[in-house]
Amino acid sequence: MPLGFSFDPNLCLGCRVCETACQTAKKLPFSLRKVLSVKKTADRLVRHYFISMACNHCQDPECFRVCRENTCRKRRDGIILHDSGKCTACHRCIRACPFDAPRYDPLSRKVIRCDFCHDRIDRGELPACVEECPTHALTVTDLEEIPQRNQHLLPDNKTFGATRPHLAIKPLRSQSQFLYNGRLDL
Amino acid sequence: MTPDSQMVFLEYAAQRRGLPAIIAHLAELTDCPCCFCDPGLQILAGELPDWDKPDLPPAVLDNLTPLAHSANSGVVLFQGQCAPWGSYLAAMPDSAQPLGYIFLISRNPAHHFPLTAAALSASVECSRLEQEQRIHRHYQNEFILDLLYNNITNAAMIAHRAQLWGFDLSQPYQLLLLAPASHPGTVVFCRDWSGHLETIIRRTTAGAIISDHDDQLIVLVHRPQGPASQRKELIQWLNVLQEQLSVRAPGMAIIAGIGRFYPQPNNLHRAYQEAKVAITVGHHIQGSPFIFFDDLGVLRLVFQQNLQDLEDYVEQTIGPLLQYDPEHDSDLMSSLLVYLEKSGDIKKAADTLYIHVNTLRYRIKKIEELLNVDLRQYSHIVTVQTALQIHRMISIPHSSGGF
Repeated sequence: MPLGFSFDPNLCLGCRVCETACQTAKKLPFSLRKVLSVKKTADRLVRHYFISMACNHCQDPECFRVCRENTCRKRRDGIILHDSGKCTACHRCIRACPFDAPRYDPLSRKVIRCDFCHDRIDRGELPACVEECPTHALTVTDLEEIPQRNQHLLPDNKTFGATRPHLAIKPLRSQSQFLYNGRLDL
Repeated sequence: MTPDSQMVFLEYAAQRRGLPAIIAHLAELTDCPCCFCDPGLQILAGELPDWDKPDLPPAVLDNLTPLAHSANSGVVLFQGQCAPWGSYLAAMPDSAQPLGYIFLISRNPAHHFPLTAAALSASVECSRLEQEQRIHRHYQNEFILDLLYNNITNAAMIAHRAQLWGFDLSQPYQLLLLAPASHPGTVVFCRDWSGHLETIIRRTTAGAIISDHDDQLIVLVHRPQGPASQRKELIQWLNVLQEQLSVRAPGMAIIAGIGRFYPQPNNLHRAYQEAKVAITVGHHIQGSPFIFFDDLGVLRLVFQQNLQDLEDYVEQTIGPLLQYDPEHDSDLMSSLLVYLEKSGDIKKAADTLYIHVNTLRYRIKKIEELLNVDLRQYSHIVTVQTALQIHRMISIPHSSGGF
């Protein structure tokens, strides 16, 4: 039962509530989730959409491999947990992650990262970012239930996908939130 | 054969007496040699004359002629002929995935009924065994995955929990990841590849720990601490596995990713991740079926980089060559690949390409002009070689996530 985030860019308004929810829930000076604004032009069609990204709890996580202090572990449901107590803030995981998910916290002088709000998951609740998303663009999904997952690369693909992120992104529909020659094409 | 005798078979199944008791009773009733095999023709119970191997030859399933189909029991009877036994009877439950076969060295029609009853009883027993094994396997896999995902960090705790499963993890182990090879345009997928491979590994390697996860077989083999001299032995062992698998499943090929050797079991999770990187990145680039993580070289650093940076590097280094070939219908890229593969030996490369040495010299000169490099200089060769590897790496259709 590998859990992962599922994201529908057709529904995301870019309101950044997920960022705020994460920051509030984790009581951090910054958010572990980032909303990326993506603009792509192809055939005079400007596509503008948002991608909400955090740790993707990859199938083959590089952070897991490079950590010399064995701070990472992966639960049976696929959630990767980081033991900040062992962390020496060597930044190896920050450099290794293709999604820039681990963050250095200058207050604690440790690296921290999204833990999928595992305590909330264990209580049968949703992660804070998912809970607060007003349009339900961000959801939690059991990736085994998606028949043809891992078929498409991320729309703003930054990596060639060797880490196999547990992230399902729905394909963009043509009629929503796209600008055509400067006009909103609805 | 009386209905009472049939009841005996069913009682054996109900009492969980096991396959050996069922086969022994069939042999006693018919006074003929018989055996029970799994779908991979591994003999699970019984003995046959003139045959001392653990598997039956695949030929026993060729030229089987259906004799009868019992609507009540769902058992199909066959007659076959194969050396060294001559004619024989075979029975199997009529299902999409047979759990096994019973072979009875006899052609007596009076034996059809006891054979049918034995096959029915054996299928009940097999279903039960399969269910038990599935549950056992499930929990054993969970333990191994806990180990490989660093959920048990204490070495003493690992050794203790491993003992419960019959593993001795106080000894050092080497981790290997095995997967079916798949090449574009070639269908080599086999549903039972892992079953075949597991059987072979268990026979050839004492103390091997095997788990399947994510369509891959995770194998931990005991390896005494020592220098890398055992690397050759590991490759030989993998070649033996490949040979034996080819016998059981013709056309089936495997690839292996091998992590670095860590003597402590609480570092096996690192070896697992390394093996996954080796099998994902290395196989497509090196072309070898057995990839050691240590052999990835500069790719170990490169594959984490931003895709855009990698594409820019490839474009700026070998971009003109990538454009030239399709525009001029030429073959400079493959010439360059072979030239580098042969370590710059122009004669060997020309022989491999079946072209004259001077033709290859002309091509290399053309490549040097296009790329503005001197392929006699070591630094230029490294640059071009790295760009070629990255080009192949980013061309792999990797998975990422998405509907």
